Amino acid sequence: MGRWECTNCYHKNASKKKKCRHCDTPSLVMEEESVMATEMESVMVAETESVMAMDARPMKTNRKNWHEDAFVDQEFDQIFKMQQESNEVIWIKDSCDVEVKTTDTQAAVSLQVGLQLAIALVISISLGDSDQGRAVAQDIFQKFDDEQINRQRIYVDNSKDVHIHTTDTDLSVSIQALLQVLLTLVVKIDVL
Amino acid sequence: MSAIPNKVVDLLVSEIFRKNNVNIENAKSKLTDEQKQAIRDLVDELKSQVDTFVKESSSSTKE
Repeated sequence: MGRWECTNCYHKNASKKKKCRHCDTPSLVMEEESVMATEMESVMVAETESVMAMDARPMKTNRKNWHEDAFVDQEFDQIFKMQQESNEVIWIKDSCDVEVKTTDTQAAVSLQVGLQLAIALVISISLGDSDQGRAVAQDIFQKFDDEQINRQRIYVDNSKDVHIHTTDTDLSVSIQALLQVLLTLVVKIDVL
Repeated sequence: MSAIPNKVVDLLVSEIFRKNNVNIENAKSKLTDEQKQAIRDLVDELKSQVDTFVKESSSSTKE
């Protein structure tokens, strides 16, 4: 049974101990790291979660007119709600000459946000910052209420000359679709 | 190559405009030339970024 070394004070502790005997630093993080290092595994985890709330004003609680009420609540809270989670794990163990190529999800997400902002911008310029403009923006983004979760797990064990290419197809489709909406809007208001 | 048929997107946008009683002619006349130019630049920029991204990811899957 191995002993673990505290990250804080480098005190050697028995493996049973959860916290350092010397300075009470928990062992958890340190243990995980050292296990991975000894097994020569490289792990990549990318997690993105972007939630954009354009206007997070407190909801109005005017219950006299239900239709109006629902409309007001929605238009301030639901316009830009995009949730995205990409989760990619790649394990490579006891292998050599492994080539991994993954799509840059971060770039794709920022592109998507850029497109959504552009759509909102075009609407607000052409229709003015009115309730009508907000309603249009809300309708467009509700059609695009995209909540995506991508999970990728790749294990390579005891192999040689492996080539891996991964693509986030969902993202490129939604980006293309958003661009189409933007182009259509722009054509409709006679700019292109 | 489009993700969604263009007609669908076109109909979607028209329908949203119709539903919200948007007067397109009115909106057109409100835009100044500078605003139009700014929107044009913005759209061109985003379009080229999307094209680059889509090309990159589709070329890597073909390999």
